[in-house]
Amino acid sequence: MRTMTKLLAVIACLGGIWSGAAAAADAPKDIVLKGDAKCTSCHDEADAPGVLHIGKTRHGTRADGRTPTCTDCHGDSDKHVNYKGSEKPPKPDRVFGKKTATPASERNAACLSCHETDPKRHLWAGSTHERRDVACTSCHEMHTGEDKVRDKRTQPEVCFACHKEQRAQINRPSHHPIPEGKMACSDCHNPHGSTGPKLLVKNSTNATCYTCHAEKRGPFVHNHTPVSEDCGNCHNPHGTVADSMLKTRPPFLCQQCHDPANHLGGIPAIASNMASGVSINASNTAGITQGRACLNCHTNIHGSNSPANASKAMRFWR
Amino acid sequence: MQDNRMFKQTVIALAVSLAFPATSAFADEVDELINPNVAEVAVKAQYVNQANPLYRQYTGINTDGVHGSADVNVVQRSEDGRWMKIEGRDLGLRTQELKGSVEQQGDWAVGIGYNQIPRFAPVEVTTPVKGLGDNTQTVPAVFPSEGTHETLMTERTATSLTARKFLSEHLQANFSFKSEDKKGERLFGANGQSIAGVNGATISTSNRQIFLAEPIDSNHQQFEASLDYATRQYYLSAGYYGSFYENKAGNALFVTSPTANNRTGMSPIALAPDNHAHEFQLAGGYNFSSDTQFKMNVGRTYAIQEDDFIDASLINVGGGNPATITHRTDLGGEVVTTNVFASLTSRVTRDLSLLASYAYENRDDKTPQETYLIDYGHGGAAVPNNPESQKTQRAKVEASYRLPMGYNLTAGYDYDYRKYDGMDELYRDKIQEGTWRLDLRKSLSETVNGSITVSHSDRDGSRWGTTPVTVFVTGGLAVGEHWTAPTQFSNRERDKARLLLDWLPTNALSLQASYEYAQDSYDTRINDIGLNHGRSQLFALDASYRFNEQWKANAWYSVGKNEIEQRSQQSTFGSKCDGSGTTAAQRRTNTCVPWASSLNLTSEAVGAGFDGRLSAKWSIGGQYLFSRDVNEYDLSVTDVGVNSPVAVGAGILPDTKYLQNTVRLFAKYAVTKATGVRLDYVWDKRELDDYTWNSWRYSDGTRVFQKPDQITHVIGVTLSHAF
Repeated sequence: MRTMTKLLAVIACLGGIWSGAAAAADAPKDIVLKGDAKCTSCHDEADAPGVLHIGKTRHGTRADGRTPTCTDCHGDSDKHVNYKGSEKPPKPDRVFGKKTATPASERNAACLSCHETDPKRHLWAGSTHERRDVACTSCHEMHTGEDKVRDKRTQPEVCFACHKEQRAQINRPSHHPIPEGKMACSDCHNPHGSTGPKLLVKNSTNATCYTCHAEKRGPFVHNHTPVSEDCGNCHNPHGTVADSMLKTRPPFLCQQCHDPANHLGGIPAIASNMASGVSINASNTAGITQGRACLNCHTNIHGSNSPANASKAMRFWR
Repeated sequence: MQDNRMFKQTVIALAVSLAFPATSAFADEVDELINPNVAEVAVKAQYVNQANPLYRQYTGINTDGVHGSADVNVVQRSEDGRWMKIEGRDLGLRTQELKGSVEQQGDWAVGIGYNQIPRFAPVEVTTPVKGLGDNTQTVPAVFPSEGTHETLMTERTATSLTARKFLSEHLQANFSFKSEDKKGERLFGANGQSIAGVNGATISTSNRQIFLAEPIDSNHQQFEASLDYATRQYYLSAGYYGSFYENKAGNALFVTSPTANNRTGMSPIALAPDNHAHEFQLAGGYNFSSDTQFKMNVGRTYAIQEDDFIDASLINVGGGNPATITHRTDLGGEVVTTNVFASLTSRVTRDLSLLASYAYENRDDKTPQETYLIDYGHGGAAVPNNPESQKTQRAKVEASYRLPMGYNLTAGYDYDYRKYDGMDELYRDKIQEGTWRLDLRKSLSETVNGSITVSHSDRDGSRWGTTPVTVFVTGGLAVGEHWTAPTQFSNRERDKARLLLDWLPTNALSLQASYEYAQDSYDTRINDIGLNHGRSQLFALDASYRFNEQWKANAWYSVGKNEIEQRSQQSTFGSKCDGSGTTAAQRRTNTCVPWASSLNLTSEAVGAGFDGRLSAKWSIGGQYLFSRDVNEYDLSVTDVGVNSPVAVGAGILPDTKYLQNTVRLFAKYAVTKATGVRLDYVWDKRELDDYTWNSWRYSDGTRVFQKPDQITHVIGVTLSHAF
């Protein structure tokens, strides 16, 4: 029995010596990225497991020779790495968190050193976001396999961190299916820069809208000027209380532009306030206020392709 | 003895663990952190109680009861960097989507996708009109007592293909194709059919506004291809985008009216014509240095619309007039749009950066112009089609200077210019707007960052055009002469301000406050008619807190107010607006009534959410959303005495109110490491008080209903397993 105990003790000691010797002989090994041992020898699965999630991402695909290592983004950070004191070490050269002292342009430079050549980021320089010191990491998370802004279901909440008005608008009854996760901000906007206004993905508002609403493109026999000019003249694509995402409900919307002749200047009313039997298509009645209001008659308000010899076609009735 | 056994076990364990370190356990733990590979399937059953019109709008669930669906998520990355991804969501529901891709990272990628987006009209319809969804619909001859209950909906079904290939280190080719079908029907309508009965109306007082549903059956195909060559020094890019729209529902909606009491014989209503567009783009950029970059983009788009017209034999314009005048069988529409964009950015010094950009668009409508109709009711003028060409220019210059203490000051000037051709008779043809901007921001603070932005814009343009002869009424006076003063053409002064404050008082707590203010002042064309003033404010407060590694919560509140003031004039066609006349009817006709409206929208919204882990097995979370919008319509009508043509009851509009309260809760239980069960509960309450459809009835008797109080409950059970 005693012999057995001694034998086990010897094995234990040998094992310890062997493993210790082996450990001493091994330099720190990379865990995810090539050369990451410089960082992961401290920031390992015990110290900062979240950091290692970069392995789940395209950045962590070592087979792609273009992928970076920690220091490509965070800098060599020698002071941080070589710090021997007992106090908190100096921060790495480039820090991307909220409480960073690294300027946005410097943080972005780390990303752009590779991504500047991506076609969708060609116009980053000079874009509104770039000029307003928005950092790539203001929207993107690197150390996760699930970057919120790249999933259309969660992307809007990232954008709403700054765009508060749109956050309220998408919850109005007339809206694009953004809260339902079927559309995202990036379906219409390229936050990395574009040639169009408002960072729209196309050269103009209308060209952007036509990617889903091509039936409005025309041209028509009878064009409606504000329609062919800019959909945003009448619609707020982020959501409204009025039907069809109209900025103001008709007839008020139409009366902002049109002269008051005939029924065009009609005073809105609702049927329940009117006398029974009154013609509700008259100048100042429910016919221009309820239902689809002006559009009850001017059905083809986006333009009519009717060749009919009838003024009704010109006025978008037909 | 017992101690001896314990010692032996300890020594054995120690020996084994030291001799053979737990590499496999370590590997598993790290692998879980860094390995993206996953193969998960989730099967979901959700019980929906009262699928209300507003809740169902885009959720794809229109009926009560149990609805089953499945989600699939497969991600595999091989050692040599090849990804394979399959993702399916809501499979089995109308919102289902499925996509798959294979990619050799850094070399090539191909992907396919399928996606459905339904939209149920947030109203219910009871109508006697027959043939909804078809391009021939029948309106009843007499006012019926009841109609058929109808649900209007459209559904988009898209399939897509994408491909990308790096032809060399710097050269990549991209291609995408998307084909989307859209089917269904949506609210439409027409003026034409007089039917007695609604609200006691007779044939002569019937509103003539009939309900129709626009038939939707279309296909839209989009192709996009590009070649991009990019280095750190410069890039060149060439691309093509093609869009092909086909309306399978036909070129017209025909309305059968079995009565003579109709206007213009219910001539068919034109539907959207087929059209296609081809866009060619060339882009390039050059980095003079790491601090100075030049970018340029030139594009030309050809939009063509040459769909066949409605056959003249099928058009009835009434009055014994010819159905058509044009000899054309299609419009021959062509719009050629040229776009140019250029920008130059430079960091002149360490602290000073400059930007200059310019965008030009020339929308040249080359559609041949000819007479399409005679406006018999307004002097018999010949009316041609109205090709609309416009040129726009946007220019921007901006300087940013980095100040001490982490401040940054940006000053900029934006210039917008628009010129219109072919409509100078109706409007002014040139508009320009200049905007000064100033932005001061503080960043790089460890706890407080913020910005304040102010801007001022001035818009004016050329003189307004003259009254168009095409709609001039011979002998007509003040309000017999149509004119238009589009808001977007009006002189305007706009002031905006925005404050944003980010505060991180602790590592766990983040606070954000923002305030936005804007006001517009318009000079209208005549007598203040049109939009006069606009004002908007928005205040928002956000907070998020991380209690610990397991628990976090967030909440936000926003309140906004939008105000619009506009004016118009109640009048009768041909009115002299001077109250003259020898009979009461003449004086009434010649009396115009100025009126004004103040439209106010107040919006409040609250959101909150939390999630966390109760134990290693249990995690829970929830979200709450409250949204309330109140529209007020404050109308003031000038008292013009006994000759007033204003109908009794006009000018009084109730407020409209919309309220949403939604609670979402979930609980997840990890049965094993691979298998989980999730419970979801949704309580969704909407209140809608809106005059739009209340008490409104089409002349054919159609009623459109908006439920004023809608509550939907959803209980879902999801079983997921990772293989």
